Amino acid sequence: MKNKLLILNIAGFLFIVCIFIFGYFSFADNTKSLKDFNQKVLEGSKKKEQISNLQADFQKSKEDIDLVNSVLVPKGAEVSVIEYIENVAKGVGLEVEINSVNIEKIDILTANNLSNLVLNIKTKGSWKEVFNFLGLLEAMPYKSEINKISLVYSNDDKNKPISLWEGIFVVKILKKNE
Amino acid sequence: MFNVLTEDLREDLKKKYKSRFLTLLFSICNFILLVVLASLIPSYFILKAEKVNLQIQVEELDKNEILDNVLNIKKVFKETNNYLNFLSANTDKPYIYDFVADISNIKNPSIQIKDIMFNRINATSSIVSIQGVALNREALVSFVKNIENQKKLKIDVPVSNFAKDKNIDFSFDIKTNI
Repeated sequence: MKNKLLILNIAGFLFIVCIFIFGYFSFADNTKSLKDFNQKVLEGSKKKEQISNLQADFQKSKEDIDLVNSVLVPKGAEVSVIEYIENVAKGVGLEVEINSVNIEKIDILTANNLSNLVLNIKTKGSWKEVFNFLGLLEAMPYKSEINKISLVYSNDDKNKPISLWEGIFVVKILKKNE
Repeated sequence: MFNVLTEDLREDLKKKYKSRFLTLLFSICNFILLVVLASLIPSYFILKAEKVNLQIQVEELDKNEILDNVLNIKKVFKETNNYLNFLSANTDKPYIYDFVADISNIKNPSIQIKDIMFNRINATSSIVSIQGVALNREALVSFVKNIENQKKLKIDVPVSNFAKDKNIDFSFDIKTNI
């Protein structure tokens, strides 16, 4: 009977020791995971702070970014630019015709997701109208560069009180590819 | 009394004592270990709960939408910077409109301009070709000199322009920084 009690005690002791060994590894494992997670959370918190700063900077710069974007022709807005130029020409009283529309791809522009929208515009009207159109073309709300202008005096119709000028304008407008 | 016992009984008694002693020792050990184990149980569950809590936080931080947001902001900043490089180039270039206006103002009634051509050579230089009819040589010389003086330019007028003395058809090129 006494021996049974001793065996029971030894068995209990071994059982508890086993629980301790299991507990030790479980604790060690959990502590390691905890440390890893803690490190990740700390790094994440830092990143989150940086993201918050980045977002704040982005919000501050948004107006400027929008302004920069507004001077570039968005993808798919080519037609509205052509119509804008046609309307400007018609607005000053010119007869206008778009001779050609091309997309010029230069490596340096392509690398920056940009290209040139090249328009060849033909106009007909008085000197004042052609001259006003030139001014408005240069003051377009897009980043543009006039590459070629040809203004030719035309006196075909002698009965007309005002002499006519035929104009060819080749304009490059910076456009976004995407 | 112990000495009175026979050798066998003595040995038997010793064994019993040993057995009782070991039983007591293991009982005490078991008791202590159980108390320690019981005291560690709350820590174990706290550790587990903390691990789960941190795991949730890590998952929250690893969410793709935060990363996507950052990548998107970085992309916008990078793109805008690239665009700014293009937009800031040659921003203080003179307008063709102003140049043509100046020519138009310099021109006197004895000069009739029939053709104005503008051709861009590169980003900072261009050639403006002017053709027309001058009443006489003096008018043409005066017109060219006035342009040279006002625009601070040197214009080479082909001598062939001075072949006739009246109603001279002239043409010359002006190299500009437009």
